[in-house]
Amino acid sequence: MLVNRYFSYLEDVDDAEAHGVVKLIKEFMHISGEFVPSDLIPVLGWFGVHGKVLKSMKRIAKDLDSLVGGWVEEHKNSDPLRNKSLEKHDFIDVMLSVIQDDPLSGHDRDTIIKANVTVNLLSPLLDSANL
Amino acid sequence: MDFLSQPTTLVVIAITTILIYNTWRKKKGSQKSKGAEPPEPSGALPLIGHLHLLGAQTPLARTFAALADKYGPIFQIRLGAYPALVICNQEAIKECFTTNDKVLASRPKSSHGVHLGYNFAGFGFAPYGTYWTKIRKLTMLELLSARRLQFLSHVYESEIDTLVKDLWLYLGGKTHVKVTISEWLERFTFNIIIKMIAGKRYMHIFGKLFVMFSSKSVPKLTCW
Repeated sequence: MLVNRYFSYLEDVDDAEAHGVVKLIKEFMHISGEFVPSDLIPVLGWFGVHGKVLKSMKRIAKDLDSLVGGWVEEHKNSDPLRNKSLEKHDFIDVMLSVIQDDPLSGHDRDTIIKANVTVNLLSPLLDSANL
Repeated sequence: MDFLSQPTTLVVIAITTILIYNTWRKKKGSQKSKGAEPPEPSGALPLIGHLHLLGAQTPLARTFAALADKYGPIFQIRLGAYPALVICNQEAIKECFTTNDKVLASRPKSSHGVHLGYNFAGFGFAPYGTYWTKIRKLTMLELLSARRLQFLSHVYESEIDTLVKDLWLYLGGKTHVKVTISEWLERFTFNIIIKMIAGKRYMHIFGKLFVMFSSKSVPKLTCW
């Protein structure tokens, strides 16, 4: 568990999981900026030509889903009200407490949370990537 | 069906399909249009539109600037099968984003929204509508509100603390050490974001560097 420990940027960490997560999120940032040919030229899609971008997009989406899904499950099990004061709530805790199923759009609670976690990951990171 | 396997027949069929599709698209476009159409640069190819003009070595901004000099501040290009409006003066921007902002508030459907945005559940990819408004309101009130950011200020305080401490450690008492500050800031923002969202922390300087650092080979570090 990586929470509540002092971490240094210089720490000698050889944690394969952490490296994998960083790599995955960077890939996600990158793929979000790529364009998918069949989006602009629908004819390509009709003929089944989708290209490399869409293929890796599907893979990244799958990996990211299990990562973010894991975060959400962990937060569900930790019962934020008992373990954490309100000040310590992170975004996932907050979303778990306010978001409900949305039958109108057909998205369930978990999907909405996961989707908005990924969006929140994306927007500030894109800004910082331009530094 | 023997003739179908002939390569020439296939090419002829493909070209005819493209031509039919192109005519159909033009017809459809002209039926819809009301009022004056913005000028459209010449050189659009069937199917791919103006895409081939945008892929060149010249930066996109320069290409558009050259087109704007030729066609005026508002013109239309075709991104593949879809028309796109390029605007580049203040009046046009005001017209599009204040007067008529609702018309232009949505975004085109893309594969990103389907695969990365959980079928348009993420508000960054969702089309404008009740769902989008609801999620945006929730985000503004609950997640990015001043109160919440105040609650989470311990996150960036501790990260700033770590950053400064580590920079000091990294210098190791020397006065001249090269630091690629953009990498440090990237780690810094990355950690803040993940910690605020999920309460986790992932990014450190990679292990090898620290080994070099501790084995008295500090000058080598300056070359990376």
